Amino acid sequence: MRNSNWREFILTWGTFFAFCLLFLVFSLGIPAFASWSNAENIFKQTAVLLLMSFGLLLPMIAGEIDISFGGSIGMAGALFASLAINGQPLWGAVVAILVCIIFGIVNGVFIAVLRMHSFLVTLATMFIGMGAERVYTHGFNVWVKDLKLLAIFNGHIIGLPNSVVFILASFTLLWLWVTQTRSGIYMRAVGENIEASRETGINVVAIKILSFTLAGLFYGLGSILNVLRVSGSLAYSGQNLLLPTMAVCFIGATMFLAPKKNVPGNLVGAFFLTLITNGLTIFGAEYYFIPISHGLLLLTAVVVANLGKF
Amino acid sequence: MKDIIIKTVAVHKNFSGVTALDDVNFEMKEGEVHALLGENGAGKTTFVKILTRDLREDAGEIYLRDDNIRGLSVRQVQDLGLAMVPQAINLVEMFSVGMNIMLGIEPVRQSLLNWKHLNDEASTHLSKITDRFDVRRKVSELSVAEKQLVSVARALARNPKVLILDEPTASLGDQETREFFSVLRQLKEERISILYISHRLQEIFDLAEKVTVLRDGKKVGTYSVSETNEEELIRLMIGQSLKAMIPKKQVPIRQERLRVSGLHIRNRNVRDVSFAARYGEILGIVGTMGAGKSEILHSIFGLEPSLAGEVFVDGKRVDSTEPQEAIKNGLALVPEDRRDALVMDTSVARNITLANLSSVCSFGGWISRPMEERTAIQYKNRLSIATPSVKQQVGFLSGGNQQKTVISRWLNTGAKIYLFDEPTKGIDVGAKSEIYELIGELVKDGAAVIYATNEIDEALELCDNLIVLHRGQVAAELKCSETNREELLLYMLGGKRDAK
Repeated sequence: MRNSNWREFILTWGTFFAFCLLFLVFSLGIPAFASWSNAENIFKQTAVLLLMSFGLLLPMIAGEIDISFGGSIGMAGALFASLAINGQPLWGAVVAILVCIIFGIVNGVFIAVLRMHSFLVTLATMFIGMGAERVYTHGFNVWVKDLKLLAIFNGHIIGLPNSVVFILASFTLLWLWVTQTRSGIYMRAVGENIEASRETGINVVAIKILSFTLAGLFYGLGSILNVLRVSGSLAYSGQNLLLPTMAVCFIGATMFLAPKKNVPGNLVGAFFLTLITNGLTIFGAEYYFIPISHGLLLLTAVVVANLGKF
Repeated sequence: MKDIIIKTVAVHKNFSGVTALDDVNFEMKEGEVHALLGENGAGKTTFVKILTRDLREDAGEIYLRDDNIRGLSVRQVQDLGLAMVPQAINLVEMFSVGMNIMLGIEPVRQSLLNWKHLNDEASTHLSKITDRFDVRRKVSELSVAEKQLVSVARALARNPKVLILDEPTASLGDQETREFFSVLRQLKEERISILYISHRLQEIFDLAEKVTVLRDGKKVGTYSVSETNEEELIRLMIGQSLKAMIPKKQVPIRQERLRVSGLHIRNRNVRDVSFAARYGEILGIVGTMGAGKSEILHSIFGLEPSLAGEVFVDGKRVDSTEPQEAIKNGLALVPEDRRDALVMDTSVARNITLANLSSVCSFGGWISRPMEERTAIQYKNRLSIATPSVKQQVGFLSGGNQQKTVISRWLNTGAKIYLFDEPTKGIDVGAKSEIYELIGELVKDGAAVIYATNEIDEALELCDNLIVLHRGQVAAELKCSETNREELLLYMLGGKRDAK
């Protein structure tokens, strides 16, 4: 009995404590790490990664996978950046979000109505998104120089960095939605036991389409923040965010509600990944060590979370 | 004069070429408890799934009161007052009991869930059935019997006019079953119509007014319970008697072939199971669902790790941790679900040679197609597998012919000890008798057969000796010639000889 409690504890809190430990080590060991300007940097990177991972979380909760954002967010970012340059940032934002939502609806229809495998469908739409971005930008970066626009993400409000506001707002809204609303509960029910969902009269097809559509909303917002963070739409930004985002969801699933995907888990997961990248970079590690560190983190988290099985 | 609440006209349903329901005309009156009776595979579950719109019929009309419900969804039929407790318990394990009961009909306030209201309402429905656990408990912490009760509460929460129960007592113990029946009687008083599926005859005489018997997808008839008896119902269910289908075997039983001693399986509740099977013997392993039959066969074959226990073949101890070893030692497993044995989108021929591909390899390890087909045709003829060609995908064959394909595979490995796990489940009567004949031939050739089943009559007619399991332990060892249905059932349900 005692043994199983201990296992339960590791399963639920192991990754979280590892995160806290790493934070302490970096704070004490690397002087440049524990500065306010670096903290703001971490918040900004985390905000982008978090919005992307919140998007991916929804289809995952509904029992599917979505990699289409590796293509769609690049396309959305490029459209937003170029419309912003032409003095239409608001339209740019609307178009960027719409593009991602349309990708989501298309994915959802193929997967839920035509019952095709989510990995295959979203792999295909990812390629289409990547290609469309290149057709549009010819592979060039699109720089945004409007300081007022950039301040939306990089500025402050009542002393708080705006990135923190984005993190808190998106976290609160999504958490409330997933745990306290009908459609949020249905999404979990569909992902956990699709038969039980059908028996209780839940419209499984509609819920799956909804999960991909809402995912699109988060990807769209994330792509806008990403453009504002780096002052432009960089070629291949989608591909570069794809794998870290997936890692965040899987690391998130080793915490709190483990082994289920969950919203607070994603929050810590996004900070965890950003923290490692940031700490190692400041410490002077070459950039090619970063993916290795992500891989080791993911592997460790998964091993720890699976200790409960033995 | 009672009104008709459910009526079906000529409902027909095929599953990939196999007829599951054949022109079923059914009527049920309001406020009635109506039992639906039939063997495994008779079409009971298919029929009620069509009523709840979980499945769509190929042809026919279905009425709930005066509404034709053909075009409606599961949800719409529920709203009309039809609720079902399915055979398989489907609950969302990570949710609370209350959330599961109210799933799909949860109360909301300003689009957020109203937890207090939700738990109160769930409590009201659950308390009608049991007061042993709270609605705030997580479902994953409950026992199977408790989950069954949650599943019933979930149906009641929909305030049904008609309640369909598909073998609701399958996972309940005696005491729980009694409690459950008093709940049903109370519902009957409240004028809720109940359609009750079971193959426990006693339950029907306790509760129902009418009984409809299905056999091989056809309706045999509807009878008043007061005007029929148990014997007649069994005859109507089975049709042709099993006795006539199972050939009397005349094979002498010789020395010991397989011995299992002190088998323990972790997490499966199988404890200290020992038995032996001899040349020429059909040894039955009988027990209710979940008694541990499949687990024991899997463990002997090396599919499920055992905590303790030894397996001997011809007196020599053998490694029972890997299926490859088991096959080398002459063992063969015909699993409960044919999908676990066959590669459905591959040819009959390849499925037959799969466990012994080296037998059809030419020099250098290349598979020789002609040799493979010759081998397969040999078995096709010997077992009369009904297929246009051995190149046909095995998924297109009927259940009985798929089963013969599995048996052919093991004949091709030269197996001498056959482990059958409910091999006649879900196949039609004709194929059944062919399987019985095949098993008869296997023992004639000197094989030892271990036959796991939960059908009492089948076990008594087919086997020489029986091992009766109850909750993972051997409750009795019986000789078929010296026992009867009542004694067997008693041991299967955990009773003791003295208590009788």
